[in-house]
Amino acid sequence: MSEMHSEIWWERALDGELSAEEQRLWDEHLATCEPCRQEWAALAQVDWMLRMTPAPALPVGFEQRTLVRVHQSHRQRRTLTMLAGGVGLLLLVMLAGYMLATTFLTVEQTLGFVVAEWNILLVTLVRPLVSLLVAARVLIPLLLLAAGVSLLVLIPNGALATLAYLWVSRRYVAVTAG
Amino acid sequence: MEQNWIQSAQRGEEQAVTWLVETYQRPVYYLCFRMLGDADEAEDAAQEALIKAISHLSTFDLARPFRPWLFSIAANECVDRLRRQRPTVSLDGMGEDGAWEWKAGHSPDPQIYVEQQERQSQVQALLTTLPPTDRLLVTLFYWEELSYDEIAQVAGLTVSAVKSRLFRARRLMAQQWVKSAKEEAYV
Repeated sequence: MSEMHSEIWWERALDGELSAEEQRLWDEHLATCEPCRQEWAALAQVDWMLRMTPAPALPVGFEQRTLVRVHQSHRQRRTLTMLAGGVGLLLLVMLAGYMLATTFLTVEQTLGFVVAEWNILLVTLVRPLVSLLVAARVLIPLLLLAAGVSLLVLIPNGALATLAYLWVSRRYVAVTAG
Repeated sequence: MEQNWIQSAQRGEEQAVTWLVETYQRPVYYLCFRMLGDADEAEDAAQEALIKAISHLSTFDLARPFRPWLFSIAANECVDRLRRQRPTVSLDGMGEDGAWEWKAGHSPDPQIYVEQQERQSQVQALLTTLPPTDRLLVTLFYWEELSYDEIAQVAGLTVSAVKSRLFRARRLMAQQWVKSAKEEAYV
């Protein structure tokens, strides 16, 4: 009888896993054990209530809103992935170009070219990025990205220009002193 | 068949993404509603869960069943929200979302509607007495019709732990139900 008070027995009874003989013993036990009978009745009631409760009503327009939101997120993620890839590729190209340039030119000449021809860099960077964004039909990120890229190009360019100027000045002083 | 759709969705095909969303948005919403007890929260959580699932589809192993994997994402979303949850007040005074359904032209018999609403409220009240994991187990067992193995997969537990926790959760709800019934009798 003690096993009929065990959790395992009650689990099996609730899940309908008792054998015919076990079920007979269980019914006899419930007929004589008041606490078990009361608890079993409560469990059975809750079990019935949970099984009989229908699915909650869907909010009006839920399906439409969900589709729209999921697709929007999916497209934005795809666009950002393409942009990240594009930016990465362009940076690689720039780095390769810089390394190639320094092979054939001096550092001063390379820096001088970068400072003087900043508009070429801007076009090289921004045009493909803008094309990608227009193709993906995403406007707000386009505006943010255009601002970001302009900043990216101009600030380093300004920094590069300053560094180049300082470096060239010091070299000039060193050469003329010597 | 479903595997083909999932593979297509993994490649980013929009039609496949639409198929997945249309197939699973209802069961995911039902799970979220049972876990969170609020229609707006459940809608937001369901959408977030679907978005996360779509964005992480590349990590899904096609050899495994999709439903438990999706439910585990939804369950984690709901558990995170429950942990962050603060009490909210409905500002529009419209009450239960069932009222929206009625006004939208779904016209169940009022008597049946009221009974169903009462039972929903009773069930949600019982569910809120459970900790999040036990609430998840009860929801998956009774309304999503998952096997013990699948429930264990979703919840990250062993099958024996699922059975044990499920039983204790049912016991706790039964005790709570008896207590509520006695309190109502005294009123």
